[in-house]
Amino acid sequence: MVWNGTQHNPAVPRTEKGIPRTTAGTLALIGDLKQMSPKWLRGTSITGYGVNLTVGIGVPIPILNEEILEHAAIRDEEIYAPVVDYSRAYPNGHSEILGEVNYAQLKSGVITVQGKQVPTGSLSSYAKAREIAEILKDWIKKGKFFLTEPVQPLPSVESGITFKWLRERPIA
Amino acid sequence: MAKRRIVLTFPSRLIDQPITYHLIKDYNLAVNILRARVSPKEEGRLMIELSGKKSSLDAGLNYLKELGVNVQPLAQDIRWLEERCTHCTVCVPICPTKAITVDRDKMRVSFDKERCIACELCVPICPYKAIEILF
Ligand code: SF4
Ligand code: SF4
Repeated sequence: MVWNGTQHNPAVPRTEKGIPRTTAGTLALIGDLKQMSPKWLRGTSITGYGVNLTVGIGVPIPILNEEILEHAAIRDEEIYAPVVDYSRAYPNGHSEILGEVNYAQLKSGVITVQGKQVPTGSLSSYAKAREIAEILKDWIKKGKFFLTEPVQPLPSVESGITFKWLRERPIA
Repeated sequence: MAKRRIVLTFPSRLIDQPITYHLIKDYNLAVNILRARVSPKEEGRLMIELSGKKSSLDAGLNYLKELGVNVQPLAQDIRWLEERCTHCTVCVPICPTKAITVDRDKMRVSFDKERCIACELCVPICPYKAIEILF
């Protein structure tokens, strides 16, 4: 883990506990491609969006104090996500949201948006995330995984970093 | 009672023939049409589920073959490539027959070929190309 990612956007609205209500933190990572497995790194194609590189990583969180523990013990119902219309609002650059739901609701398979029942799918894989977490846990238990000292902390809420929209300029 | 899910390919000379009518009327078979398509080359493709007595079913299939209709089992046409699937669950809400379902506890997906009608809705949705349908 070398730095924050290009879409790192820490200063978004947060809940009382400090959990972001929309996409916020991203990471820049370095790894040796030749040692990677297609189990965790895969070229993907998302209809209507484009090609993507889908990466599954495991990040150990050392529990050094109560504050870290509190943040690591967040439950699905405490994590919120905005409901965005990708057919109209998003491609036109409107920040309008249709509502807010939590991850427990999303994982149940249906959410209610403006009185309507809408089925949900995840896109990122919980099954794979659990698999990675178990592998990492095993490495740590066997003493095969070590932490390095951080060089510098990631930019946080006080950094002043904000997200810049890339507006499409029509060709006249 | 026997049941078969099959894909029929009709040459252009047969596309205006009431073949399903004969399967029902002359062979006493229940015909459930899952999908139908006539291609620009005027070739007909029909995906059906036939049910009836084993002897009627065999006679009906024989009738189709004698007419020159190509009969293939449906099972060959749908493949969920489990090793490619990451259990991302994106295909789950789009499947009209619940052929793809999630174990919500494990968040793992499973595919029930019996329920799949090969509508192909999940094919462009899957980011990992884990479902292949050859129709
Ligand atoms: S082809 Fe249609 S019925 Fe079959 S699994 Fe995909 S969405 Fe479901
Ligand atoms: S969309 Fe593809 S990868 Fe995701 S659960 Fe369905 S079959 Fe698996």
